Amino acid sequence: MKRFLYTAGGKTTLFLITVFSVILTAVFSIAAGAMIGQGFYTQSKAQMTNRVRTELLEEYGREIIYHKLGFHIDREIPGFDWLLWGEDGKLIAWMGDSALSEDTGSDKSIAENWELHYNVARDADDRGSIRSVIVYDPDDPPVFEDGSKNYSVTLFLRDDAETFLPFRLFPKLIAAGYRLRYIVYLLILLFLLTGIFSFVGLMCVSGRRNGQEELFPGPLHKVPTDLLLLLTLLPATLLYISLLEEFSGSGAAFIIPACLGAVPLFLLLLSLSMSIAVRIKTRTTMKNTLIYRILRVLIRGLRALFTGISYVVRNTPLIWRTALSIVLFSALELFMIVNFGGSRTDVLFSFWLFEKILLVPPVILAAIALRRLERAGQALASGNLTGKVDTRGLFLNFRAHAENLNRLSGTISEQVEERIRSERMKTELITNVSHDLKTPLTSIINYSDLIAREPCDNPKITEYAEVLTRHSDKLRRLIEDLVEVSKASSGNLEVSPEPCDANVFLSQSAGEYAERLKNAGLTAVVETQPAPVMILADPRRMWRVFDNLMSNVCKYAQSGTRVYMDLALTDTGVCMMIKNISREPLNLSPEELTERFVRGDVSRSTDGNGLGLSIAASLVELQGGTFQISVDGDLFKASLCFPLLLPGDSR
Amino acid sequence: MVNILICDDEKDIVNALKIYLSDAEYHMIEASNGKEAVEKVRQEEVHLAILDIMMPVMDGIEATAKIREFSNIPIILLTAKSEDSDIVLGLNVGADDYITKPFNPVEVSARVKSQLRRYFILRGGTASEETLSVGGIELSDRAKTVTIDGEPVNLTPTEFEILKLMMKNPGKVFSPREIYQEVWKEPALGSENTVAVHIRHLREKTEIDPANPRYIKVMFGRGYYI
Repeated sequence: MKRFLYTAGGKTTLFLITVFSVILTAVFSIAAGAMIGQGFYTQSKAQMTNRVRTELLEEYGREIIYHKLGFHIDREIPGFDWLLWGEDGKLIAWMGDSALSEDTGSDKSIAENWELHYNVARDADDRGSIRSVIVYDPDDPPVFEDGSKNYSVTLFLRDDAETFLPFRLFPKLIAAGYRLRYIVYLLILLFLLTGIFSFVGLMCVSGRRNGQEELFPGPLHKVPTDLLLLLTLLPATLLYISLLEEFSGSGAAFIIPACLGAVPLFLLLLSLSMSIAVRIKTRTTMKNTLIYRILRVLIRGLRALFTGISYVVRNTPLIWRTALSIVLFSALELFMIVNFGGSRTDVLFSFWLFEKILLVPPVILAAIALRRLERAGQALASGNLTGKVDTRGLFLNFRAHAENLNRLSGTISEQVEERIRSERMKTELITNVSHDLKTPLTSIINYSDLIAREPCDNPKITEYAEVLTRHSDKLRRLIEDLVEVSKASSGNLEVSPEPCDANVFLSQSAGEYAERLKNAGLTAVVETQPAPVMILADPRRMWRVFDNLMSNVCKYAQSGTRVYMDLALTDTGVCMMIKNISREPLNLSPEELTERFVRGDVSRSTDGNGLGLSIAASLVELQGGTFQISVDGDLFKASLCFPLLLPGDSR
Repeated sequence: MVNILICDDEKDIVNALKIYLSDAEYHMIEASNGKEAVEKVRQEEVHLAILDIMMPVMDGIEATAKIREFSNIPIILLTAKSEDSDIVLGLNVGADDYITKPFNPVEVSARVKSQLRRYFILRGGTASEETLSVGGIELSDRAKTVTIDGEPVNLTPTEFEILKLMMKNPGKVFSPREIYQEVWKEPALGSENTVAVHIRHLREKTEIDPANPRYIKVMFGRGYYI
């Protein structure tokens, strides 16, 4: 169905259905209107038949009188014979044999006969020729010299009269109308609905083609909407109105040219609707108008003009701007005074001069002061806190404002210094603590080592010294890591990123750890990318990250398994991943693993302090990367993701 | 007889160092701050100085700078690891090497020995045309030998080629791929790990502390350089 409607044939069919539905709706509506006018809904069939019959007969009688009295012609009424009687009962004229049969006793058969009475007035000129004949209502007689007379007409319907005579036909028409008088509304509704549906369908299919999503506007689409309507609808409407005016005097027949003229107008409207439907669908109804285009050009021009003017004004120094404005306004004032001052020009001129002498110096001074304040504000905004505004020569509010600015810069620089001092103190504290911890530790390590070296008979001393050495070494690593953690997490760690190749990180780590992995019974499987994958990272910090990760692998991976180190390119960057199978069940969540002092082995039997992953995570994040741990059963995966450095990127 | 100046404000550390360096050859001179150390170097014949960085009165960096004004003896700085900016500063004002606290006895004596060897035997600048020399490493392409501060080192042919490549271009950072292509003479197709393993071995043979190399340095994420 849809496929058919999208073809040209389908569209034509819809178009024709719409046209015929609308025409039929109009026809039936007119019929319904006529039926209302004729009283189909207020009178019974018999009443109507009688009324129409009486009206027809009266019309016939009137015709006969008019023709006979006005033009001395015997009017022939098809199917009828007639007699015309004067006021005095004298037979004036007749038509047909049957009319006389009553008197003559002729056997010519007559179906029915009627006698009709008329009041007739005649208006004759001086020579007695008739100017007009009027049949009138006895309650409202016209005033003619001739006065009024009563005439009567006897009409005989001949038995042999043809059946298609209007007089014979109208009862059948009335009967048919009676049968149809309610159905006609149903028909109106039916065709109206058909029309609406096919119209909507037509609007939907216009611009569409089979199997294609986009719209295909017709050649009319290029014409702006308003121009199209102006060029087609306006002349067509005017033409139609002039047509109506032409036929406005022709009574009931007026309806025929009105209807016929409406058909082409309707066809035009329908075609325009299709074009506008496409415009609505492509959302170009408003944009594709001449008015819109003109307005847009105008607005653009105005905007450009405004931008230009404001650019010139903004780039003129404040003092120059002020001076220029003063000169311009003064000149304008002077011009006005000279031209329109009249007899008072000299007085006005002296006032003008006095005002300028009084006002110009303060205005210029204010401009200079403003300029100075502006410069100070700019300096403050760009972070220069040392410059002070020179308050000499500034007056009133300008001086107060300048002093405020100076006070503001003082406050800010104090706070900045305070902040820098506290930052420095924090860094110094960390460094000093580490130094102060390390100095005694150095002695502890050295001397426990010396004890161990000392030849001794007591094996217990050797054992104790060994314990001392081992634990002091552990303490050393813990202190180093603690310092690192506090620096990394407080942001007190310098990071100097350089372009690095992510592939190289993996192969170098694998190379550095080749021996230790082998000792732990692990095989490294390194999958790198054929082309360099550049990222921004600090090599030293990255080594610390990989060092921690790889030493974890050596410590916690199940011996005899493989360690996978590979690169995955994502839309936004690159992820370096290290995957291994844990020896112990990992019953900790990834979040817990990166927490400080949490270790994969709950027994804490292996050597390590639980800071490794926390440091790695902090360091990666300091370098602008993301560090993620995931645990899937015994599979432990660490991924380091960094944004890709594109060839054109600067640091 | 070699005179070694040990300067640290912590007496125990000075003592420990004395014990570690106890050798018939060495004679220890003590100082407890930088000022004292400078005076001792000026007055007595000192062949090597070990200076702590953080000291009262005058710190190790300043003392190094002062000593360098009149003497070219080897100076080794003692420092805590987290103060790496101090190390760079110390090396820039004229220190020859550094040891991080807490230190390893073996490492201390190895560094002292190495510095003394260079000071006495090499005195710098003996490299001939066939030999490449960077710092304390000398590589003779003709004899296929490598010495570190005069001590011969045994290298495999691949390690030798890698070292030669890097010594020919001191300061240049070689990526593992470049090294592979230059040394193995074939395109590197995922063989970069091999290079990393070889470099690691090379460092173990040439460096006193392979984790903190002085010669074959690791630029992590980029490559290696001398």
